[in-house]
Order: sequence, then C-alpha cells, then structure tokens
Amino acid sequence: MIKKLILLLLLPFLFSDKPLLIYHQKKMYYPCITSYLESDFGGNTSLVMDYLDTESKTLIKGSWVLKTPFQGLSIDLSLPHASTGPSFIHWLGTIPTGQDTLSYALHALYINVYTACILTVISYYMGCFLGMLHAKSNRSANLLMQLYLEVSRSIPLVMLIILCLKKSIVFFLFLFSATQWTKYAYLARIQSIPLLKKPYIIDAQYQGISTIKLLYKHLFPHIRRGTNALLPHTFLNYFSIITSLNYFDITLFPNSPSLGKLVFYAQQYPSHTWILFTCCLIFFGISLCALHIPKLKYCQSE
Amino acid sequence: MAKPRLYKRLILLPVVLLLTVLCHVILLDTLPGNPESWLYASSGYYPSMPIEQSFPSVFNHFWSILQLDLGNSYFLGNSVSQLIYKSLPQTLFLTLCCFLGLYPIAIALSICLLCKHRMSRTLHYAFVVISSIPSCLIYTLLSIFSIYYWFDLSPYFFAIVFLIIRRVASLTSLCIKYITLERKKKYVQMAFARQVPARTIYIHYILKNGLRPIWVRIPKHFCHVVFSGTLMAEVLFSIQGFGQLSFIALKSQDYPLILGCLLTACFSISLAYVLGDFIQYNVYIKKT
Repeated sequence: MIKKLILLLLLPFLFSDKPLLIYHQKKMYYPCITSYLESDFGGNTSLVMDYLDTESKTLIKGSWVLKTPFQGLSIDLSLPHASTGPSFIHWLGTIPTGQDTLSYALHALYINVYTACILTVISYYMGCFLGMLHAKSNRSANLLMQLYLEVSRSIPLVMLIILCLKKSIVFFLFLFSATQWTKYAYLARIQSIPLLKKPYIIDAQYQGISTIKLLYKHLFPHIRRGTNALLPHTFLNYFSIITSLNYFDITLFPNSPSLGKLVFYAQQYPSHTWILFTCCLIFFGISLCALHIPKLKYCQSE
Repeated sequence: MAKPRLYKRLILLPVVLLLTVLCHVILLDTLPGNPESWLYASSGYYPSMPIEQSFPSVFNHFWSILQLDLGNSYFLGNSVSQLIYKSLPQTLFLTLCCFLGLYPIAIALSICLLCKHRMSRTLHYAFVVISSIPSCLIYTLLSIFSIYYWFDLSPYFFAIVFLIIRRVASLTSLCIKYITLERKKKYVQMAFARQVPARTIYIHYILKNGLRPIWVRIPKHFCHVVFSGTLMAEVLFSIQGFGQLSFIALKSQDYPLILGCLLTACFSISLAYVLGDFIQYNVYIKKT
C-alpha cells in the first residue's frame, strides 16, 4: 500500500502542463517544483510563466526542455467540441470543460487520496495517544478525558468539512485533529489497560522515564497491531466521504479537480460513456486495492 | 463493565450534554464568519427583528437552548423542533428496515465464511468492494442504467438495500472476529470433541455467547445510522428524512436548524452509548 502511495506521489510529474526541466542560458530551471516569472527567462513582464502561451514559448525557444509524458489539465482548444471521445492524444476523451479526462481523474485521485491519508494519519496518532493517556491517567484526569471524548464524538466530520469550506485548510486540520480521534482512542484504551499491569511497564515506571516516552516506547508498539486493523477501513471511509461531498460541490480545495465532480459529469452526460468508464475504473481500482490489504483478507488467514 | 464506571457515566451524562451544547454553539457562532452578510447577499433575507435579537450572541443562544427553545429555521419557515419531529419517522423507518435485514445477513454470511462455504467468500469480497465505492457513483450507475424503471419500486426500497449493502462487509468482519474468539474457548472445543452437531454448537453455544458484544453495540450502531448513515441515502434517493433536513441546513447555512439537528443527534448518541453500557452490564447470558 505504501509503495502504491509513493507511486501516486509522482503523478503530478507525469501529468502536467509545465515542463519537468528547462536548460536555458547555461542555467537549470525546475518549473514542476517552483513557479518562475517571465522576467526570469528574459521577458519584459513579471507575470508568472504560462508554458502553453505562445509568448512564453518564444522565450524558451532554443532551450533544452524536458516535457511530461502526458498533457496536464489545460483546455484543448484545438478540439471541435469541449467533450470528445477517446483519441490518440486524449486516451480517455475529454470532459465537458475541455480537459483531458485521464489527467483530470488522476489529479483528482491524487488530491483525494492524499487528503484521506492525512486525515487517517492524524486521527490514528491523535486517537492512539489520547487513548493511551486515558488508560494511564488517574481518577480526575480520567474523568476529564472521558468528558473530552464524549464531546468530541458528538461533532461529525461532514459538518466540519461543510463549515470549514471558506476557511483555511490548516484551520480545518486543527479542528479535525481536535475532534475526530475517538474511534482509535477507544481501541487504544481497551488494549492499553491490561498492558499497563505488565512487569516491563511497571519496571519502566519505576525507572522514572517520562509519560510520553513510556507511552510511545513501551506501550504504542504493543497496541499497534490491534489499531492498525482499522486503518484501511478509516482511509476508505474518509476517501468516500470526501468524494461524496465533492459530488455535491462541497470541496476543501476549490477550483481543483475532484472525483465527485467527475461522477457528476458522468451523471449529467450519460451519452459520454468514457467519463463513466473512467470513474468506474478509478473507484473499482481503489476497491480492489483495498481487497489486497492484508487486514481485509482475514478469510485467508482463518 | 464495572458498576462504578456505569454510575460515573450516568453522572457524567448531563455534564456532557451541557458541554456539547456549549461547544456546538461556540463552533457555529465563531466558525462560518459573518452570517448576516452571507444571508443578505445570498437570499435577500431580512430579519424582522433587530440584528442583536435575530442573530443572538453565544450566551443568548446557549440560554435559549437550555430553555428547550431551538428557534425558527431561516429558510424553511417552521420551528426547528417541528421540522425535526416531522422528518424523524421516515429516517427511523429506513434504519429499522435496514437493521432487520443487515444483522441476519451479516451473521449468516460470517457463519458461511467460517464453514468455508463455496460462494460466501466471493459474496463477501463483492460486499467489501461495494462498501468502498462512494455513494454518488452507486447512485449514478443506478440512474444511468435506469434501474428504477426496470423494477418500478419505491425509493425507500432502494435506500434500504443501499444502506444494507454498504454496511454488511464491516459487520461481517466484526461477527467473524467474535465468533472466532468464542470458537477457541474450551467449552466449545469440548463440544466439538464430544461430537455435538456443528449446527447446535454454532446456534446454542457460539451465537448465544460470542455475539454478546454485537448485541451491546446495537443501540450505538442504530443511532449512528439514524443520524449520520442515512444522510447520503436520503439525499440521493430524495427521501424527506432527518438526513435530508440536516443536509439542507448545512448547505444553506441555516444556523438554528444545524444546531437543532446536531443537538438531537448528540443527545441520542450519548444516550445510546449509556444504554449500550447498561446492556453490557446487565445482560448476562448463561453459557450452555
């Protein structure tokens, strides 16, 4: 799974309008990583370089340019209609906005998968840490933790996403990490309570090591096995929620490609079968990947 | 669960509810920015009262909720409590029907999987795949292939099937986990050694004792499905239930309605958790 995620990280370098490398006047430029101004390439204006624009093309004429293998999210104006079927240039056709379907879908997949991954990791670590702390805390702290847990559980994720629409993503992540950790906290607490009575934990406590070190060095490795089982389910759940909200035009990243929007196009234009095909390809692909996660294949281990 | 912990939970319940109300009021009053300007700009809504009374402060909001006054909806006109009261029966019906199908299917499938039945594994894999596909794609596939017209059934039927299919996989995994744990216990091993028929062992020994955590979980699960699980199904299949109401409230930033829906959900979920703990403490099933 991690290898697949790393492979997915390379997607913007495969599907982009910007070149990967430019060797211009004995100097290397990396447009895929940083954005350059026209004045950097000897232009008169200080506008950001648009590498598909004819003026920009004349600026880098004669330079060595390494392009990405596939077209990015730019609108293909050479086509007779915005939405056209599959061809040699656009393998899976174009969507009604004139963008290449494959590039659009893969960019959207990249955004959704990484958002879901970040949310899963945050809820996992926050949940495990607070669950272990809950198990270890004494009476009054235990009561406070229980209160915090009960209040946090009452705030649904969908509400947080919709409320944080016009706010920054950092603010959303802060609120998310403060509230959406209860599932893992329960698991971590249940698994930590018997472990706290083990001799090696008592020994570590007598040695006087700090609570955080005790939790992460001695307790966390033992509870990981149980909590890890929920990870694929959580990831798929977040992925599904984000996509479904995108379908209703509720997105954390406005003006960026989204899988929900692609499904919406598929529903609005049923005759454009290539859009539906792309959607099915992506979602069934993800589901089949989920099937290969060892924790879901418990039937084989039985 | 130990008895003191149950008492502690019961004593904590009013405090939790108060804190939840306060937390939600603060969140709603501070998060979305400026509700007045948004309302003026988007819908031409002009409050009949002065601004201070129309958009009360955090303290006034909190005080009115403590007096069980949830206010009126900005867009739907009616009082919030009335709207919630009207929409809840549809959602409860949906969830009840879903549960009547969901639990027998999941338990039967888990037993078939453990007995290594021929088709069960394929069926379970199919359920896992379907549960990880977003609801909007399933709805799009249903509408594009016009399955509604083929069968000419009510949207309730589709919504119930949709809810069941999306939940079977996770419940089956849970059932398998508990059944496997119970099967390893000595009294079950002894029954197998005494050559008691497998069906008797499964029904009278394992299901009776092993699925106790599942029965305890039912109130919590029911509340979660009522207040968050049915949202997508109701929106997609146009059922005027609680999920649809919360979605409309969130989409149109109807603050009193959002708060009303959230508080109803929170109260019910908190009560369901306490009920779950109570069942766990009181239900003692004798081993055969």
